[in-house]
Amino acid sequence: MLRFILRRLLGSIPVLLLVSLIAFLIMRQVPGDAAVAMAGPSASAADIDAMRVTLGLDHPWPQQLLGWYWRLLHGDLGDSLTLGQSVWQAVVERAPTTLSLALLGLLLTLVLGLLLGVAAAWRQNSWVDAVAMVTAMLGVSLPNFWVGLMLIYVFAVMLGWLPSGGYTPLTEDPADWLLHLILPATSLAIMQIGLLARMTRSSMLEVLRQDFIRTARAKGLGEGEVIGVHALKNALIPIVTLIGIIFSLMLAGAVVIETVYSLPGVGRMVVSAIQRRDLPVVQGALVLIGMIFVLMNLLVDLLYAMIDPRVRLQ
Amino acid sequence: MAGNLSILVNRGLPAGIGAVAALVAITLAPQPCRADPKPGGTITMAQAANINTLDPHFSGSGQTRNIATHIYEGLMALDENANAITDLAEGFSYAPDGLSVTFRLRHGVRFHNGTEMQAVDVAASLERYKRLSPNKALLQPMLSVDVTDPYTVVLRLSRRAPTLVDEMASPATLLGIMPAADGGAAGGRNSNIGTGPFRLAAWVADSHATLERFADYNPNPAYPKRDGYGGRKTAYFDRVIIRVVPEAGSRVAGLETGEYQIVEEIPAAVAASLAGNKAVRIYDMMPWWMIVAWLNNSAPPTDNVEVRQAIQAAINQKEVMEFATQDFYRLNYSFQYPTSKWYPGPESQPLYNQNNPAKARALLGKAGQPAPKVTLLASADFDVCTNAGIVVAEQLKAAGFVVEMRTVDHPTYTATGLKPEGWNIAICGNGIEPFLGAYAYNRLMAGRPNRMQNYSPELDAAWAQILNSDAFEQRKAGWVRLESILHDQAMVVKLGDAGIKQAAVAKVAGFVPFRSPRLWDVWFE
Repeated sequence: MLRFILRRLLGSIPVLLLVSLIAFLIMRQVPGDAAVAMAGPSASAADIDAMRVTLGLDHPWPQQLLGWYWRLLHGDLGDSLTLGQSVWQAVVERAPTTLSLALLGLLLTLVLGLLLGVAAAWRQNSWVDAVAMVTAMLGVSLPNFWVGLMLIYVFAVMLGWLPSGGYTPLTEDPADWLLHLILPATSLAIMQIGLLARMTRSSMLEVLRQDFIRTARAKGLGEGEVIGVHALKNALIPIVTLIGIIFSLMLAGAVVIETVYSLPGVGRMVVSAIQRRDLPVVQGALVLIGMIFVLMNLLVDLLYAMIDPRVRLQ
Repeated sequence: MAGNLSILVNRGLPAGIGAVAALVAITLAPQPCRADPKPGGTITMAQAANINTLDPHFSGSGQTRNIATHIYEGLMALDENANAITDLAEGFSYAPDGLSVTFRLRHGVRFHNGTEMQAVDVAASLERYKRLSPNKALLQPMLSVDVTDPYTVVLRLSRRAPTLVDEMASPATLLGIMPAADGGAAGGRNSNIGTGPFRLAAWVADSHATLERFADYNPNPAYPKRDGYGGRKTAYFDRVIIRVVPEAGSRVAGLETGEYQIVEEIPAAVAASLAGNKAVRIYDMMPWWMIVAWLNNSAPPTDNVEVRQAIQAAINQKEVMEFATQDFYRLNYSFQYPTSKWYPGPESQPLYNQNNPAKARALLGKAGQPAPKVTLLASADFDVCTNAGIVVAEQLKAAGFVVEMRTVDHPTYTATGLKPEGWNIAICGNGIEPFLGAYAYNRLMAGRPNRMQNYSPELDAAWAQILNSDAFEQRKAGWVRLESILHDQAMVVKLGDAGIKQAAVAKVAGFVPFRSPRLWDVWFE
């Protein structure tokens, strides 16, 4: 297994380098650079040229790219052109926010998505199924920024139960951390709950028609054991795949949610880095986000083997 | 409820772009009688745009200014009417030949690290600014800075620069005084230590900055009270938190729930729906900035003066501004606000707000281009600019133009607009320039290439008069001449002045909107 993990990790290096190269080339095609963004909205050409020299953007782009790769080989993601700190430091400062948001969102998705999906399959074509699927469909259909704004209006402005935005680190005040994340995580999870519920329902329905389920019931096992132990476990393979995808989608969706709720996360940092044309931050953050995706996929593959002993990692 | 819901989905101007006039007509609700200011408390302000850097030398952005003006002070500052006044300088004098300026410094001013601000710090700050600031051209006449004693510096100049001291008061790219140890720091890598009424306690870019009252702050004894960015400043709040909240709906929600006590900018439509909320006070900032259509004087077809004059004739500024600003505007032909000492007067200009498509068509016929194709560029980051672009495009089409409109993000807008080709009309706002008067326009309207992509000896002669005259009357005459050239040759078309709405909870006292929010001399009732 160790060899499998190592091979997968090594295999991801060219992918990550390619991701950063594509990011670099795309950003090169976009007009404007960090000097334009930093010099201010009313800057003259001379102001911007001066800023370009200060930031080292007057060097030829192949030199900039090679320099970036050279530093990367030494474990250095470079320095932000605008934040006054290294890219690594910038990401490390913001990663806890994004990871908190994504993990809490994932937790909500798993609990509610699985419950809805299992209930809908268990009582197929009943009102339970109808309610679960309509709820899931609504979740899939509603844009998360709109859901976010509505949740703010109801729970922050009208009811005053929860804060409308901002973030408190877990280490500072765990209760306040949770309070600040409930609405963002819910906004982020709603769409994914719908996705997971629909997938769970369809996977469960397939399993529930299998002979071994009929056998289990014939043996007199309780419905809870049949559904919870025998059916759900066998329906998990496609669900686990989807959970991996959902986590990736949550990292992507965090960009919007972090903006709506003013959370200082990696997603918002990348968006503002794009707006500021802060290329090192965009490249560095994409490499790190890419690594998370790679690790997530690896984790999913490892989970396959745990769930289904017939799967062998090679 | 529908009205309230619209608060949440309405998007407004990203703050920080625009610019305010010092001489604003501020409409405030009648103020109740107030008790004496009380120190203490934490105030949180929400602003829309991200904070790039807190290094005042290194950024010309409004977001940096919002915070940097609390942390740093310069030798000079602008007063409430945008006139230069002394701040860290006790006084200054030009040499009779105009080739040096001597600044005498205030005694007993402390940096946030506890050391006293002295001449070596001023010299290091000036040299750093000249080395790395995007606005380093300001100090281009400065050959050297001599420290003659701990409280005196002499700037040796390569030429007479009678407006230099006035220009040093600009907060646009603030010439803040830092400890000498920061003199060698790269851009954005300084220690964020200044002499201002608040010291930086924490900063997370894209998120928030926390400032704390500087206990050893030494207010300027030369003034009786706050005056613009200068005067006698008093910090009342223990802590000031400036939070980046990009979404307008979230800013308003935070104001209503009390999480934010001041919001730098809210959409005009939302302000109307908050009018009945007694817990919130709305501040009208008019003017905040001016909306301008820059014309490319070098790319065809707008290299032809008659085509440019046709654009000028076709535009109905009233219609443009009504739509673009949600009716929060003022017609003004000038590139100065009417309350500015630089305003040319009289109040009307025959080439402004012509709304005359027939004249435009006649001018196009005269130019031999009955249906010229123009590329109109508008900044998508600001709704006002995009909306103004949409209306102008339709008006030009009605006059016979073929218009290709490109809506792009602001860095793209700026980068494209600085090139001699790829655009004919570029629409967005200018705020800091009219706030400062005439000097800041020099960066945009002089030399080659300028923002209009032309080179005009007439313009440069007018600039020479503005920048080299000793008497203000002569400088103003130069500006009047310059504006008439701009209008007569349709080098650029002024669309109008626009305002913004700010809001604060009712218990906030002493807050008076300005070019950027000032949270000194502000307290909770």
